[in-house]
Amino acid sequence: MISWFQTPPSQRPLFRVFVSALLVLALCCFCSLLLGAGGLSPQASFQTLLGNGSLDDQFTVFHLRTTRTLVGVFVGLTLGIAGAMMQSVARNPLAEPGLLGVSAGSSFAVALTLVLGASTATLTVGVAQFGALLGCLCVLGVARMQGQQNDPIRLVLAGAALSSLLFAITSLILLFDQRAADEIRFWVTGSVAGRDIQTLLSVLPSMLMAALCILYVAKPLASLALGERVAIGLGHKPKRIRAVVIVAVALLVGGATAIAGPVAFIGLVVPFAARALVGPDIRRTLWLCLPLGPIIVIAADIVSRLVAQPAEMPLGVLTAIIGAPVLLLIVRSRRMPTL
Amino acid sequence: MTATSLKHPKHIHETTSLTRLGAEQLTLKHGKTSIIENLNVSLPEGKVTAIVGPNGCGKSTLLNGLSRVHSPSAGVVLLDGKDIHALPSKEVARRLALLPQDTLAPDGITIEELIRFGRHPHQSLLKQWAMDDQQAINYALNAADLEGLKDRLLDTLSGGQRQRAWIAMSIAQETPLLLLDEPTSALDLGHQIEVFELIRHLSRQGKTLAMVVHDLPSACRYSDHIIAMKKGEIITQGSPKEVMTKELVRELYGVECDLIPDPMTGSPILINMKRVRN
Repeated sequence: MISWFQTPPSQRPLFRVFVSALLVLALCCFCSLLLGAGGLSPQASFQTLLGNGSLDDQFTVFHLRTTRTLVGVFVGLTLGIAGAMMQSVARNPLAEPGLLGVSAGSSFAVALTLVLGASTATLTVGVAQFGALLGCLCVLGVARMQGQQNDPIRLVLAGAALSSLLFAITSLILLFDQRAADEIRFWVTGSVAGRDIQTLLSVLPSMLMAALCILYVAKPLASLALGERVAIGLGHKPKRIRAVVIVAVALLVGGATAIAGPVAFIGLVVPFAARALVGPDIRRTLWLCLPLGPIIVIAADIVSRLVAQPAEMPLGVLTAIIGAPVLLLIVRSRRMPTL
Repeated sequence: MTATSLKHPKHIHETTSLTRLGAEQLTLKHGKTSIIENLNVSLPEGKVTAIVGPNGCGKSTLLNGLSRVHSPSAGVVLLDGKDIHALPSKEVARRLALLPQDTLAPDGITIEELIRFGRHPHQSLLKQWAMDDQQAINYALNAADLEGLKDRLLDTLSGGQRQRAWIAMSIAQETPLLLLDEPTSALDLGHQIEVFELIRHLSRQGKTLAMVVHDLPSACRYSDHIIAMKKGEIITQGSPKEVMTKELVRELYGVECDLIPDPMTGSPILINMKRVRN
């Protein structure tokens, strides 16, 4: 165990860390089915899982909590992966979809379409993904326009400005449209509660596309970490790599936002933890983000159900409470980790 | 480097006779400023070429142009007689390796992991890792004399070892051509010699190499061919003994000096240097 801590993260056995994380995830999912804000006790939940519950209990455990857990898994997965990809391509450990305005772009697009007459039922995931794409391009464009050496803080400032602007416009729109306001409230603070399993299924095809993008781009992206010219020398095309990453990030973040609204900081915390465990090589980081994202979201969701009983705290609030200190930690670290 | 007795992969010999890298009517611009205009150049095969010249003369730009990092505004870079930008980038990377100046080492990468990147041009989604990849890596480790260090972290090594590891990555690329941008600029004397000797070793194995070098005596000592550049033009080129004159040194750097042959190797040494007005 001691030797494990002495091994540099990049040299730890990925498979073992990955399997351990999977076990933790299984445990989290199990807890997520047992614990809740309602009157159902953990013991009763467990009996229900064994098939001894009343109809109401079965509905709570198998429908509400199972869906909620699945949504949590999905949101953690997508945002964690998206964060890792963005940080790798921007060479910036602070590049996080929530901070950089990608989520804001996505929820803004959703709000706009709702105001223009769509309803939550007819709303397609595509809108959220398109908004995410625009948000992504905007903030990367602004940060690039400076012509400066890549300054991590500058990118985050540009993102914060874009996010505030978009959230402000979103709130403004909602002032004028009460119907939309009721439907959108959900999209302004993220939550994994009360979602429909159908919505989850409807994003799966685009997630498959994102997965293919990542499969295609992971190795070139890893070589980009050696320097742009080195990557070119190895036969990769940095421009194409960036384009594919941005599309993948937009698909992932748009998908997550369409389902759970903008959940900030997951894309920051998950890759940060993954790098601390297995090092900065994006191929290793991505593997570990797979279980780590869901672990963090589900754990946060369980806490959000328990701290304010019988009410619930919105997940987005809780992730911010966890995420902000991590952000400060990264900013204050003597040496920004090089990606 | 004691590695002269090493067996080297056969293909290097097979391909050198076919490979040529050069440029015709090449114009390279940074934004709107022309750095190089209408330049014709070709690298002599199987030799070490040193590109020298004062700061801002366009030598790094030329190297970037030749390695397709910098796209030409006019003219063409020819690799084996074909426009390098018309060839698939991976295909180019199997014939031409590049070691730029601005390399970045990710935290916690080992030498062997770094060298593995050199195999990217030989791999695809379906062919991820094969026997010949491992062979190429072992060969590169051996050639760069890094076998005992392969599991060491890059950031725990000396500057010379680190640079040798980067060169080993390009060796694993198994290209007949290797371009290096100031491979010794950040190194102390001992480490510089370490790297230059590796470059000579690779040349003996049949590779064609070109490097941008700042230090004139080293350029003379370790290259077979010198290309001297000033203001985006090639002033002169040829073997070090032919081209290295006090007039050239004055023209390039505005430095007055005398040249004497190295008593051991015969390559020119600069002495008695002082700055003059141009």
